[in-house]
Amino acid sequence: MRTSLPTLKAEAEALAAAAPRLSPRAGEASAAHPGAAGRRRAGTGEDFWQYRNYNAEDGSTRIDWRRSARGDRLFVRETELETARSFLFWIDPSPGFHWRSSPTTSTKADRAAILFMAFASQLARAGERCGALGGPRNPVNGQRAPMRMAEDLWGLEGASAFPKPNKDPATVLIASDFYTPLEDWRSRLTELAGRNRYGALLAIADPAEAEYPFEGRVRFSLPGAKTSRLIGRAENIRSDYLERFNQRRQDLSDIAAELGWRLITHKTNDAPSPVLAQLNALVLEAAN
Amino acid sequence: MSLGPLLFAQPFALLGLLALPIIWWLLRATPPEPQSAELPSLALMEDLDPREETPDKTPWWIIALRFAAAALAILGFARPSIMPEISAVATAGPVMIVIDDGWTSAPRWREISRTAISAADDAAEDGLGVQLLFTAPKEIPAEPSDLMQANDARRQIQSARPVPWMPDRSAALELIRQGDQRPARIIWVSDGMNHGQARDFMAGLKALAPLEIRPFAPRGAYAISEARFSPDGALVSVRRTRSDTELEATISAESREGAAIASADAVFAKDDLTTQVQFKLPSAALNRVARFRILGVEGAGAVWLWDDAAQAPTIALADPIDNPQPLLEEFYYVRKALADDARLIEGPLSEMLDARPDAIILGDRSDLTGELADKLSAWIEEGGALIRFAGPLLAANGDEFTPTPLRPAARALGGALAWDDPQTIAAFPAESPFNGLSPPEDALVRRQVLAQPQPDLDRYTWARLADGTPLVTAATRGRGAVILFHVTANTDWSDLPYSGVFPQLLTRSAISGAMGGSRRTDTGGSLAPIRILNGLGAMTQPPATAKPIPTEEFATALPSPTTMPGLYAGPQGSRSLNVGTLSPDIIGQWPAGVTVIEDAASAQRKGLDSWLIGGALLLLLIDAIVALAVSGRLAGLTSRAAMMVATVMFGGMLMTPPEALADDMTPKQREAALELRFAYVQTGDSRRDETARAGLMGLSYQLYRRSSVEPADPHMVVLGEDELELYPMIYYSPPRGSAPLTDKQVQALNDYMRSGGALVIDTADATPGVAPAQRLQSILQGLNAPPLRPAPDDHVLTRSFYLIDAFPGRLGSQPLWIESTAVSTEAQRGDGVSRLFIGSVDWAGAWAVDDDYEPMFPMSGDENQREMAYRFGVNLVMYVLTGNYKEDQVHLPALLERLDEEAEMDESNASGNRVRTLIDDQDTPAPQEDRGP
Repeated sequence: MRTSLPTLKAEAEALAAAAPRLSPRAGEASAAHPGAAGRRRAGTGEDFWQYRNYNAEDGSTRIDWRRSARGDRLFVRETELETARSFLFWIDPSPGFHWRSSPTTSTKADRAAILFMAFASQLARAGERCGALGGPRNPVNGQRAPMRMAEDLWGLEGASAFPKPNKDPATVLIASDFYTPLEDWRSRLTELAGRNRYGALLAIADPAEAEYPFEGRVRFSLPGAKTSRLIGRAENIRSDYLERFNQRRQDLSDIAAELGWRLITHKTNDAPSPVLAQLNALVLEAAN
Repeated sequence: MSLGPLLFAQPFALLGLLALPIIWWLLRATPPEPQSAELPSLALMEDLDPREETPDKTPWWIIALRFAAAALAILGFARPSIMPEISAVATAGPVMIVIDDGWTSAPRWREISRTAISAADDAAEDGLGVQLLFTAPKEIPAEPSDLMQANDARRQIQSARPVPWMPDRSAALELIRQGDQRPARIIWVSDGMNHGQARDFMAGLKALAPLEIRPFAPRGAYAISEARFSPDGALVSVRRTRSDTELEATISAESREGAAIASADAVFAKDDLTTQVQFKLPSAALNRVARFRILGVEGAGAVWLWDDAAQAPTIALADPIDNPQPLLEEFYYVRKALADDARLIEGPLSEMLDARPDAIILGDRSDLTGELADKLSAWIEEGGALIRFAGPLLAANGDEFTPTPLRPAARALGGALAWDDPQTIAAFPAESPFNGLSPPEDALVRRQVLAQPQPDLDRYTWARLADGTPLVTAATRGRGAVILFHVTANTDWSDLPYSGVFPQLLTRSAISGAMGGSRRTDTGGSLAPIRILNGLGAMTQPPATAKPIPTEEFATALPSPTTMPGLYAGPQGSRSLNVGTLSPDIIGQWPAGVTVIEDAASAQRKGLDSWLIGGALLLLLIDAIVALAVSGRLAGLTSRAAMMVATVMFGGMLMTPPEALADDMTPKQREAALELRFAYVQTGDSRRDETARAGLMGLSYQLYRRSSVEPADPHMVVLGEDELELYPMIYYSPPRGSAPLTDKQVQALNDYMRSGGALVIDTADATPGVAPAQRLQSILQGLNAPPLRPAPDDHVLTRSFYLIDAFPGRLGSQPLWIESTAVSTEAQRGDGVSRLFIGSVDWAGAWAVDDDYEPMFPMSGDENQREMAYRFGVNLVMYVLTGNYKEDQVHLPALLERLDEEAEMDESNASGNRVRTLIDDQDTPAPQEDRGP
């Protein structure tokens, strides 16, 4: 059912390699502080943050003599705290998400995994930390990070419940089809957004779901469920269906707007590269 | 079992009708199976009620449909048939059935045979004996058969086939008269044709017993009565039986293997029994024709065998003179011209005369005297066509073998001492056999012999020059003709042998004699059958009874059991014996007191079983379609069918000739393909587009002045619509705040760069110290670009033509961003040549010129920068056009120098075993000079 991760990884690498990057510092040594981002408070880091008065607890070596020499008081030079950012990913493990309408497209979950791994490998190259939301391991950086993230996500299979929010703030990316009741999603996401300023919802749909190409007598069933439903003339409910489908997209976009997150929609028969570009924009947003 | 006129052959099958109620019950129970589909998003529809559900019962009309199908099938298996009552005369003696089985019966043989069988069955039903008699003569003369039962009669009729010759009715009548059985009634199943004996035959039969005639005259065209050679190909005569309507029939020319070579439509006007079809075929194709056939008509008469005698004329080239230089040889052009259209033989004139060709071609000679002349004369009288070419010899000494007396000198046109210009050839006169050919416009005649002026010279003239003097004259002698071309056979005197009509002039001249008819009189030996035509018009191996025909009798032979129609091999090639030559007319009048049942096919027993079972199958097919439509699978089927149709049509498109594809090019594509030109992308901002156009104009102008690159005017292209591959460089200056490119446009640009095109993006919004990173992020979205970096100072762009140290534009100098793979040596793509150039200094603005080639915009800063901007533009174009060639060239002097040193060292130290060191880029000086003004 689930495609093996190395296969997906190969696709993700190809996707990441083809994605446009404009890195002015390409080729230059930027490995000293991988993924460092200012945290807007004093701490360990490179950049100047503030001068403050010397306290008795401070060691004498910390005194900034150049500044202190200009007056009578002693000053300590503080730098801005720099830590790597974390990105947490989650892919819906429900059987409906691991589904495709025809063998020519990939399943929605596979597509999400490819996109996330491609994105994570770009992040990892920039020194950010990546991990699975609710996964057993903490986010890490480095080359192994995308694979670890994907392994953790694929390991979520049994646990269908939505994971508990993370403890440390991070940028959260949620991939699902968002077909379960809207109120569930609203409460889950509100809770997540309470901790995480930045996040994105990746709503992936199969072309069959987006276009509803059914006609005649059709016995519909939910993947993974035993019950089925017989529709006498499937084309009759087409307009209702499409209306609801678009309404769900609209609701999701409203929720995302409330949370200050982004909603990215995608169909599995479309090219994945534009989505990656949108995810990249998320990084820029988080960085500013 | 019979019910009125309905007769059931298998009445027990009707018991199956009892099963119908059970089928009824079964059919009601099973509605069609729905298709099943998984759909995760169905969760969205949990609370929605579907508007219409299919009833759980099958609709009544489906039941009716299936029920009717079952009932029809059961009735069909009972094999019912309808027996019409047609025999008016009730008799009490044996019935004689006389059947015409000549080739004229073949077109409707099935009906004849079925009618005869039906008549035999009728007689058997009445308990009467049947006698059969076939009218066509056989190898072993047939007698009226003994009285036989219906089954035997049926078997005998079924095994009979029409024979490829005519019936002999008087012989048949004689046989009936001599027979010991007196028939009580005679049924004549006739071919409806007269054959010259019908009246007597009918009278004779009527005298013996009550006569009932069931004629089956062929419908439509039934025979080819003649096919002969014509100047353009072949002329085929076709006959039909009735002249009351217009009619078209298709005649096909077949090769020996049966492949169709050509086909033509024979059109019968109203009231015409015969028509002619012209096959326009080159002789090469005509020689491959083995027979003509009326398509869709069976019978020996519908086939005309085309033998050697009917084919291309034999032309002899008399006394060819060898010449080591073939192009100067007299008959070189004649041989080339006739190679495809005639059978050529060559040799001394006397031998050629013995071979009796259709035509003899004589070159320039004047020694036709004595015995040879008499022999030649006799051959012409007999029907030969003598084609002569003039020349110095003939001009000097005329002889009797010219159509008209000649003046004893040649006329030169267009020489140094002549008044006249070389003449062209005038249109061919209407009465000439050359009429219809178009005279060559560019063929000039420089010299010719002249005919003695005489009042009726026009009568002999087949072609003349523009000034009216005869070029080709001809005169008939006896059955033959003498044709004189007033020029040489080679190109000494005229261009005529070069021209395209020369072959046709020769072939038309060659068949003007009458040799074709007389050649059939072969002498000596006999003709052995190779292939025999059977009665239905198929070629078969000759049966044991087919005998050779003595050559003398062949011309008068008629098809018969001893002289079967077909192809015979003789000493002078193959000869054919065709049956269609004597095509008879239909019997117009029936004698009084005779029952004639026209179109007697209705008299057959009609079996209804096939109709019933076919109807049942049709209903089941409708049912299947309905079932598919109800379950919604029909759409899938139709789309697949549409795909198949599309595939077939696509295949057809592939077969269209390449010219058609080339014609699909728009004028713009043609322009772009024919000349080197740059292009700029339409942005929707007219000012920007105009700047880009003027900029590329300015750059093209400077390139034209300074280098050997001479581009034509730039084109504007619309991304995703125009063919970008035709342009080596595309300039794109996206306006601020422009919408991101659509997927299609991005795809077009990606394809363009992958196929080797160069894309120059100029944001034209340079602010000192700010990289164009943010804006480009949105521009580049989706673009297949590797990481970019500024072009380093030593990049080949700085030295591909001029030595420059910056890449300035209207807004000053800023770094030029190129693909990083074009800088570092690892992971190169496209030979390490950058395909993407990004800058922000408005190069087009600096390059732009107006119509007078004056700069359009002021430089923001030093005006001298404009020159540097042009130099950068020239360098850029050089880099785009030459790729990494210039980069290699940079090192060339150093390489040469190093090679010289090595050569010197090798000379001084021949045994020196050194490892050649590679030259390091950095150590090499850039030796190129600044070529700028």
